[in-house]
Amino acid sequence: MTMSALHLLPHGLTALRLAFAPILYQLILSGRGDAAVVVLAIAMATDAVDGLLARRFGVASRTGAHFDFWVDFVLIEAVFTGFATTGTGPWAIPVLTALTFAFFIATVRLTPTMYDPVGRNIGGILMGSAFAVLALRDLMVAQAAFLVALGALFVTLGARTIFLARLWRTGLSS
Amino acid sequence: MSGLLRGLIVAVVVVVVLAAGSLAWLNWRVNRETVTPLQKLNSGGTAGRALAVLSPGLSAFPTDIMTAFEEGLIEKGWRIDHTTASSQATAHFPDYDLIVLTSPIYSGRVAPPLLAYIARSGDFGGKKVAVLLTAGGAPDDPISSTEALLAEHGAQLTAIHGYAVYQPNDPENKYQGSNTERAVQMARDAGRALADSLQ
Repeated sequence: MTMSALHLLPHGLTALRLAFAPILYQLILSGRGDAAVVVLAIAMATDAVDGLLARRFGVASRTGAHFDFWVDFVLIEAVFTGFATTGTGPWAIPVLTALTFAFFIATVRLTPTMYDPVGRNIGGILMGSAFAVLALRDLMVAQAAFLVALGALFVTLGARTIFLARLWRTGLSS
Repeated sequence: MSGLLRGLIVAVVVVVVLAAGSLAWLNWRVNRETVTPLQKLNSGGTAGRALAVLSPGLSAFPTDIMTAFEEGLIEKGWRIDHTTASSQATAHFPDYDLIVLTSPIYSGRVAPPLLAYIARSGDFGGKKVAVLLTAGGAPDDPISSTEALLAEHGAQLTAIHGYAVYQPNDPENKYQGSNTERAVQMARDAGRALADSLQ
C-alpha cells in the first residue's frame, strides 16, 4: 500500500461506517440480529480506529472530524429508527438523538469542546446500547439498553443546557 | 489522571448507574401484575368460546400478537373473553372450549404474572390450551419448558408458537413487512388455522 493510500485509510473507514447505516437498518427490520451485531461491531471498531489513524498519519482535520461526527449520527439514527420501526424500541431515542446532535451543532461555537463526559462519549454509549440489544437478544436487556440510551441523551442535553444557561447569565452580568 | 480518562470514567459510571437502575425498575415492572376487566369480543360468535389471558410485558409486541391471534379466531366465528394474567383473572374454565395464553420471554422464561396465573389455575382438567410466546432471540427452550409446565397442569396443548424480535420469523418469506409485522400476520393465520382444526 502506498503512503497516499494509507493516508486515505481513516476517511475510508469512516465512509465504510456510513455504508453500514442502511445495511444495519435493513438487518434490524428483517430480524437478522445475528448479522446486525457483526456489522455493528465492525462499525464500532472503525469508529475507534479512524481518529487514531488520522492522527497517526497526520491527516487529522476539522473536515474529517465533522465527517466522523455526521457518520456517527447517521449510523445511530439508522439503528434506533430500525428498532422503533419494528415496534421494539421507543421513537423517543431517534428523536432525542436528532435533537441532541442539532443542539450540539447549534451551540458548538459557544462550547467548542464537548465538555461533559456523557456528551463526549454519547456516540459510544448509544452504539454500545444498540450492541447490547443485538448481541444479547433478550427483551428485558433490550428495554434496559433503551433506557440507558434515553438516560444518557437526557443527561447530556441537560448538562449542555445548564452550561449554556450559566454562560448566558455570566454574559448578562458582565 | 488525564482529563480524557477522568471523563471516560465518569461516563462509564453514569452508564452503569443508569443500567442498574433500569434493570431494577424493569424487574419490578415484569413481576407486577396488570389487572384488567374481562373484555368480551364477538359476543355473538357461535363456533366456540375462548378465554384469552395475556401477560402484556414491556412492549406492545405481545399484545399485537395476541390481538392478531384473536382476530383469526373471531374471523372463524369464535367468541372470546380477553383479560390479563393476574390474581383477579378468572381461572374457572368449564365454560370455555379453548384457553389462549400469551407472554413475553424474559431471561429465558415466561413472564412471572403468567407463571403465577398457571400455578393458581391448578389443574386445567384436559382443557385445550394454545400458547403464544414472544422473545428476543430463539424461543425454542422456553417453548419446551412451557410444554412441560402445561403438561404438569393437565392441559391439552393444541398449539404453541414462538415469535422473535431479533431472529427471522418467516424464513420462507411467505409474508410481507418487517420481522415483527410478519409475526403479527403469522399469529393471525395461526388463530384461523387453530379455529379450523377445532371445528
